Amino acid sequence: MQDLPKRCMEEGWNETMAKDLNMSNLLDFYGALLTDKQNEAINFYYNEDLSLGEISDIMKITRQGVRDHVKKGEGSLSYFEEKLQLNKKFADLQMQCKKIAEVVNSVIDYNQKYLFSAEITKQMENISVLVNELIEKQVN
Amino acid sequence: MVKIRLKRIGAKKNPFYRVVVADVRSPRDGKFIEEIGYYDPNKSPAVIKIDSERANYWIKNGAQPTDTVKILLKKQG
Repeated sequence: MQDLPKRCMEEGWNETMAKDLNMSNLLDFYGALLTDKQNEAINFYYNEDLSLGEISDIMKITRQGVRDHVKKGEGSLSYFEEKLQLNKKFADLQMQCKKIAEVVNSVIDYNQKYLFSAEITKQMENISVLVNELIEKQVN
Repeated sequence: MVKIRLKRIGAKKNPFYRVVVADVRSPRDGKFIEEIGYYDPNKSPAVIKIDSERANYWIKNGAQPTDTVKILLKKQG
């Protein structure tokens, strides 16, 4: 354990050896489907960036036990994402909403420069509200 | 021993990480000694901002960055 960080500093240390933070996103979507232990272990591992040893102290189980929970949980999370793709869909939705917001803003700008229609501004603001609601609904 | 690690804050499905210096003996209560930066994966490309002076200071004094933090430090250069 002690010499691990030193090893990481060496050239050629492979980044794929480190944690994949995307798991933390998947935990947001599918965490409720895991067992409590898996959920807890993965939360410590990814969201608190603790080591397996540190988690084993907290959860009062062996390091190997923690590792099993994390690995099994990761497997389930990946499987859920592969089948349901909620994380990917959410990311796509966020991206699209951002683009809509940009279009809305440019219409408002154009209106304020050339058309001076209060109605257009009002309707555009309505669109903004709707888009925000759409994102918020997905988050909850 | 002191460690430099990521700590997730930020809302559900909207991750945001702090880079913190924390004592290994109190991993649970979330207390940390100092915040030296942040990592925002929501932007593309992801934003990494770490006070390298403070990071170097802590590493020199024996703080161990976790693998995840190592990568961020490396990426930031």
